[in-house]
Amino acid sequence: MGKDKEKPKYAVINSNIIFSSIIKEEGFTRAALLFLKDISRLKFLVPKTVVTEVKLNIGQISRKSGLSHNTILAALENMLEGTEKVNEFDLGSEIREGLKYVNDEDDTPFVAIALKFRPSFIMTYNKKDYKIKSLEKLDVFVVTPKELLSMMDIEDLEFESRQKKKGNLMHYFGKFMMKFRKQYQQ
Amino acid sequence: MAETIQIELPKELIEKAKNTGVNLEKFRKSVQNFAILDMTARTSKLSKKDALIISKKAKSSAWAKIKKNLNML
Repeated sequence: MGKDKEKPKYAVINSNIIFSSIIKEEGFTRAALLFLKDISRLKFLVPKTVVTEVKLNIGQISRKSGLSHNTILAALENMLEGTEKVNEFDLGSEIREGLKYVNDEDDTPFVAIALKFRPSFIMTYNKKDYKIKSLEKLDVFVVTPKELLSMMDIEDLEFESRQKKKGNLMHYFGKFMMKFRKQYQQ
Repeated sequence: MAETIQIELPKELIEKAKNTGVNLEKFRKSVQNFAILDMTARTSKLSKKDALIISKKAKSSAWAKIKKNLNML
C-alpha cells in the first residue's frame, strides 16, 4: 500500500472469518475483530446472500460444533452486529468485473463488494483464492486477520499475549483498551 | 437451558479505565459481546477444517443464487 494513497475505510469479511465466532482456537482473531468493529474507523461489510447461506447450514454447524441452533445464531449475530450486509444482486457490473480477479468463482461476491467500496480490504484465511497483485492495482488489498492487525499496529499484542498470558481474557481487554483508549474517549 | 450470570470486571481494570478517560459504557458493551462469544467458542467442537468446508458450501450456494439472479448461467 503506497504512502500517498488513501487508506481503506472498508473491510469485506470472508465467510471463513465469520466462523471464528464459533471455533475454539480463534480467540485472538475473535477479540481483535470485535474491537476493530466497535472502535476502529473501518466499516465492515459482508455479502447478504452468503450470510443467509451460512445460516441455512446451521444444522450441519450444530452437528459438528455440538452447539444448539439458537446458540450458533446468537454467536453469528453477535459477531456481525454493526456489520453492513450488502445485497449482491445490486452489484451486477461489479460481479462481472470481479470474476476476473478470483481463482475460485465462489469468492466473486467478496471482490464485487470490495470493488464497489474501494479502497478496501478483503479479510480471509485463503488468500490463494484471489488474484492479489491485480486487485492491489485497483486498491483492493487481500489480507489475513493477522496482516490486518499488523497494519493497525496491534500484531505485537498477539505475540505478547501468547507469551505471557495465553488465554487470559482480561489481558486482551486491558491491552486493547490501552491501545485504543483514544477511540473509547468521548 | 441458558443461564444468566453476572461477571465482575477487575477493579484494577476499572481504575485504569477511569484514569485514562475511557468511556466505561462503551467498554462494558465490548467486554460483554466478547465474553458471550468467547464462552460459546470455547464450548464448540467445530474445527477450523470443518468450518472451512461449511464456509465453502455456503459460498457455493450463494454464488449459484447470484448467478441465477443476474442471468449469468
